Amino acid sequence: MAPFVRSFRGNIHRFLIDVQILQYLIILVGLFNLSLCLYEDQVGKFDWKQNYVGKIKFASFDTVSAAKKIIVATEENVIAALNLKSGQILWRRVLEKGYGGRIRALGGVTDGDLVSVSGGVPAIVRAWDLATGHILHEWPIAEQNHDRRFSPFISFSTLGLYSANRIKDVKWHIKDGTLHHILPIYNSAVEVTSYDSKTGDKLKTRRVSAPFITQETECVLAAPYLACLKGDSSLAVLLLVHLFDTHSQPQSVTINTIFGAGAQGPYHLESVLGEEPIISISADNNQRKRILLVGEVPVPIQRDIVGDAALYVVSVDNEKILLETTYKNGAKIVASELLTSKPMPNISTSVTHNSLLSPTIIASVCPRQTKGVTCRHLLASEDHSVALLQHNKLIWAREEALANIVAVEIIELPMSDRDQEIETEFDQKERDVLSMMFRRVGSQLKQAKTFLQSILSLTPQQSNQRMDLVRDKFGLHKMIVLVTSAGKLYGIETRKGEIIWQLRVRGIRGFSKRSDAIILYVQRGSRHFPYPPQCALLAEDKVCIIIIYYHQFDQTGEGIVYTFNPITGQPLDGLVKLGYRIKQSMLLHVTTDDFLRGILIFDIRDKVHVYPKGATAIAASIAKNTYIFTADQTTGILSGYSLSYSTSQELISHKVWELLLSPKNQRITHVVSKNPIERVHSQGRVLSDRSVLYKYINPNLVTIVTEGVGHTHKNTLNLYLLDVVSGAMIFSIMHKRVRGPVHVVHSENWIVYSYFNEKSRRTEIASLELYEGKIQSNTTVFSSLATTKLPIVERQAFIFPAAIESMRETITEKGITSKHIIVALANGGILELPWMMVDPRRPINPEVREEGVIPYMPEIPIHMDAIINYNQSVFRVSGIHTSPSGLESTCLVFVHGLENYNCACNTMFTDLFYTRVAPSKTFDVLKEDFDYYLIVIVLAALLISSYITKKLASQKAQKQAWK
Amino acid sequence: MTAIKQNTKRSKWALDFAHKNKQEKNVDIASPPGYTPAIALFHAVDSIRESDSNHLIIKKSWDLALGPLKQVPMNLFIMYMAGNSISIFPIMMVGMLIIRPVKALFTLQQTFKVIEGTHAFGQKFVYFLGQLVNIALALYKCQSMGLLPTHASDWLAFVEPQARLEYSSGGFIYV
Amino acid sequence: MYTIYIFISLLVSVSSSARGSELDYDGWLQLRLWHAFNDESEPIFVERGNVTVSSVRSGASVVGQNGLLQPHINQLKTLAKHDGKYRLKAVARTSLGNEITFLTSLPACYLLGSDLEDVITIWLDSAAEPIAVSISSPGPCSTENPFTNMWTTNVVVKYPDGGPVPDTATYIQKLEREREARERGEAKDNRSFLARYWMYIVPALIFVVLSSATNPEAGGAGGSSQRQ
Repeated sequence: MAPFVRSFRGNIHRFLIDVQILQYLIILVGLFNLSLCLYEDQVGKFDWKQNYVGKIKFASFDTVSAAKKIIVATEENVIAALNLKSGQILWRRVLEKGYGGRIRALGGVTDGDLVSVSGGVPAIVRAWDLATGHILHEWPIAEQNHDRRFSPFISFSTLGLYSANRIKDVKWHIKDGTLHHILPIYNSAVEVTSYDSKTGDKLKTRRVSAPFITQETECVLAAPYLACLKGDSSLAVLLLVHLFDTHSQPQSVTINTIFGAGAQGPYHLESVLGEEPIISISADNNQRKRILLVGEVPVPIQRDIVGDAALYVVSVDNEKILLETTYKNGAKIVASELLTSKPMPNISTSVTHNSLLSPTIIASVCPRQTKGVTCRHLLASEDHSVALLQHNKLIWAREEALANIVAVEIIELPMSDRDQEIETEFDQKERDVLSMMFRRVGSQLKQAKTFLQSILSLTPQQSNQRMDLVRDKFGLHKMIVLVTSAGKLYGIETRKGEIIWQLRVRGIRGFSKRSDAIILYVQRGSRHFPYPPQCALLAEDKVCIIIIYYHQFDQTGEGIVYTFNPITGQPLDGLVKLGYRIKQSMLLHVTTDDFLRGILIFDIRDKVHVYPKGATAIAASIAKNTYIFTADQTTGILSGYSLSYSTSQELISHKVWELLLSPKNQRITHVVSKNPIERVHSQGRVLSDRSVLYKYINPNLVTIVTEGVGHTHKNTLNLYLLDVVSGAMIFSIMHKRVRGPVHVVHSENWIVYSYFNEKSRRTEIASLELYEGKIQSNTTVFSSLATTKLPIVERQAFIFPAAIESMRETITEKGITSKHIIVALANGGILELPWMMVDPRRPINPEVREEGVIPYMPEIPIHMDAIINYNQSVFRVSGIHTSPSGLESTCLVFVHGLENYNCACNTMFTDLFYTRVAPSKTFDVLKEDFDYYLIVIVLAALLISSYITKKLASQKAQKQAWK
Repeated sequence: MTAIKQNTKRSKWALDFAHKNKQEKNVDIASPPGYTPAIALFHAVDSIRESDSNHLIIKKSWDLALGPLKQVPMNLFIMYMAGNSISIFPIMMVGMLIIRPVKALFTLQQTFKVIEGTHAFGQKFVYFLGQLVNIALALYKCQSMGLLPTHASDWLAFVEPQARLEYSSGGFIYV
Repeated sequence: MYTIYIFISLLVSVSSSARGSELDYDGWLQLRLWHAFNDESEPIFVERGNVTVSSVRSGASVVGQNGLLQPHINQLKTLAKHDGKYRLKAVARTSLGNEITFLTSLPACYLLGSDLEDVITIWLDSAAEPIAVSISSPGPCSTENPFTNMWTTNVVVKYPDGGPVPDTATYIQKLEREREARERGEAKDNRSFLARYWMYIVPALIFVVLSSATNPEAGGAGGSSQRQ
């Protein structure tokens, strides 16, 4: 019997263990599913995506297709078709990144096919289907090599240098299915090579003699002519070369015949947009300009046009009309007949609109209709917004400026008016019963009055805000404040992605050394009624922009602060010039009496200022424990400053530590602090023996990533963990034979970073986790100065089967919800990766299971369920912003993409994507499809039935008693 | 329902004047003798037969008192069979093991009401002890299953986050 | 007015215990130390001593420094009373001839509390160049006179650990093992459901049968004794 019992018991045990394993499996499977699956009807319910095309470079009205549209090519290497009526993107094709995809020419739309030339050497010619945006043909122009022979000046240079130098001289002309490649050869001729734009067959090569062309010659294409301006500012000659006639001699027009006597240089040549070969020459320091019709006989128009007018020539009934666009508090388009300069008031128009700022006409059509001539103009503004103007009306506008986002904040919306009233009612200092009652009655009366008024519609709503822009129950409806590098601000609400306000701050630019970053601080949230919420921008004065080109980095602009209300977009204190250059800044964690958090500004001479000035006393009161650190990328010096010698009048900093990451060996690429609003709920991890491994949660810990430089240290990656209060290095690690791009996420007690492994040629994710040990050194406070024991560092690396563009961790209000990492993939997907998957404590040989630890697998699988943007691909992601919502379970995610060219100007290309994620599922809300009626009905039925049965039972008992 | 049936079967010939029943409590005038609204009658053929000998009561009460202790081996066996893993059945078993003695302790007076007249202090005490033994066994089982909060990890959720003493900020220099 | 100069030479060899450390280079390192006790934002440095690390790989080092003078101790006490920071400047000279200056500090009271015991940690990068010198003291915080005026200095040399790499080999081995185990397990255990779990089913059946046979009476008796 005994052996039977033992084996029986053993079997029961095994059975139970089997059941347990099954449960683990179920949990594991559950982990992968983690609320990520989206039902079809949920698409677009919690998320929105906005596509942008960028700053328009070329545009053309497609009037030949059945569906009227506008074809645009942009600085961001995008070719897209916009709906004529609404401005929506019909299709959009993103070409190669950077130089390789730059669009050089776009044409052929009027012939019903779309041809683009993009890239450098070799340039790639693509023919597109107008209706769908599919590529029909594609071929490279790869014959640049032979040009070298003809060019004695550059024959010694390498091909690469040659290409880079000459590609900007190359002009392209697309006409009647033929692509003309026009290359000026210095001191000799212009070489025109014609290709069939569809097949790529070389049709003809002509050389038109033009010996006057040198490197300095300014040439523009006014097909079929090439117009070149030769000479200096005193004496200049305009030379016109017919490109398709090899026998013709260059015609020359002197400046005097155009301007008459008395014009001053420097002159500047531009071709006037439109179908006709017309050029404009500006003189007198761009004060005025005149235009010249290029033809067999060049015809100058003897009329001065203001220098800043943008010109466009459109033909109406075979008559050429010149459109001059000027801007003064509104766009004004003046039309006149080209040859006679007779004004045409019926075509002239003027429009005032928010999104029109110094616009230029990019494309225009004026078809004759039954009612007369109706012109449609596509206007591109200085701030990159695009608008379609029809007659006098703005049909649509696209905020293409919503790009190159340098700072993002997600801000709570204010309470509704009624809630605010209640808030004020209970916010008073005196709290005796009588006055409270009076106030209550007073506000009730007021409410009744407004109610009556609204019923009788006596007075319109006195609200200064939109009714729907109020905080919702769960704090899910918020305002995203975006700062673009051009100094334009946007407020976007999160529910639909609607732009609520936009604000252009003139005269500022981002900090040049930090790739045009503008710092955005939320000084006061929306919770402190009646004080308005306040945001502050920290940027540089634009004044010194020229000096920056001479690489004198100490000659940058002085700092400015700009404060505004993030909900309404109204400036508060306006632009404040600080009068010193900003080195670093920090938002104080304490508020003044009016709930405003001051900004500590650390200037270039290590002096500390507070904005606003009134917060100096409060800043001084905490100065003893306030530290600020700086990292210099060029010198490799990291320094820490303490403010402990501050007085209540003045803040005084002194250096308390300094270390050097020698720029000879390494270059600092990342300095990553933790999110200051982060809270950590769980202080430790439970081990399998039920003891606790306490987390090392040092809020002053900063991750510093450097990439090795020089021959010996190339392809090494160093990661340092530094306590920026004590200046103590906590940990350092080095990877060999890896390279960037590196992305770092630093949160709680862990660091996750990705890099490219050169040796294995794959992307890897490494993860570090810091623990204090089995006992906590101090259970109540954490002081960086008192903690001398180095933490235990767990580490592990994983293979990640995709290229990573950006990473960010989720954040929730109380930090109870488990953390996920939002990973933007190069293929346009945005992956929600549970941190558990990159937990460095994942055991390789799991003998004893710990709670919530998955056995180690070298490769992190990418589950399609975990792609939070399903099929809404977001390309070239530059940043992910996460923000807690009012719900503990839910985190708001905002993803924006951008492209930053490596040239003097930053161009941009943006996709905005917003959604919300629930890393631990929505444990604090009922499901969307929760059946309230069913539960009410069931409860009611149960109640009623229990009552009835009680009655029946008593009746039955009575009957039985009488038996 | 079965209880009512049994009671009615037993109480055909007994009248209870000592206790008022539920409905009568609110009424000043007592119901006429013989009227029972539901179940106020006592009848026990068995008890009449047994009540004549006093020692039977004592025997019965000792049976009652030793009941919990007799359960101990059975409980031990159940515990042994349940194993130490945490899954639904062992948890239910352990839950029963704990809840039953606790319930029994609360209803101790009621249980011993059966033994009319005698105070039976010793029996009550033994019964009480027996239930305590059962509870102790159940607690031991909980302990071996790891259900008792005796480790640091069990109190982890209540550990407050460390307050931050120093504040710091910074990064790459702007200019 | 007399001062005592005590020259202490401590030979402390502490090697860093980092696992997977990869330091390809070895060399010596010399630190000259200056410290400041003044309670002002601008430090006034006076010489403290020097540290010579003869081999950065092994971490063997020699510390040579003077004891603290009474006025300095008094200054240190004032500093500690005002919750000020003791600042240490270290000028490192490497075998390659580079000279790098580091600054580090710690609350003065920790030094007094630990009777002038401190730990100087030198962090090296992968090229064995110093990147950070930091001072720490076990404490506790105190503003009393220290027992001694001599330093007890430990020198620790640390260099970066090698980064983790995805552990594919072990994982593949594990998979192999699991596969083998499964194959063996499958060979043994391909009986039918009944054959495998008969020992659960039979007792359960017996239990059910028995309980259904005995229950009515037992339940009735139990019920009568429990109720009332």
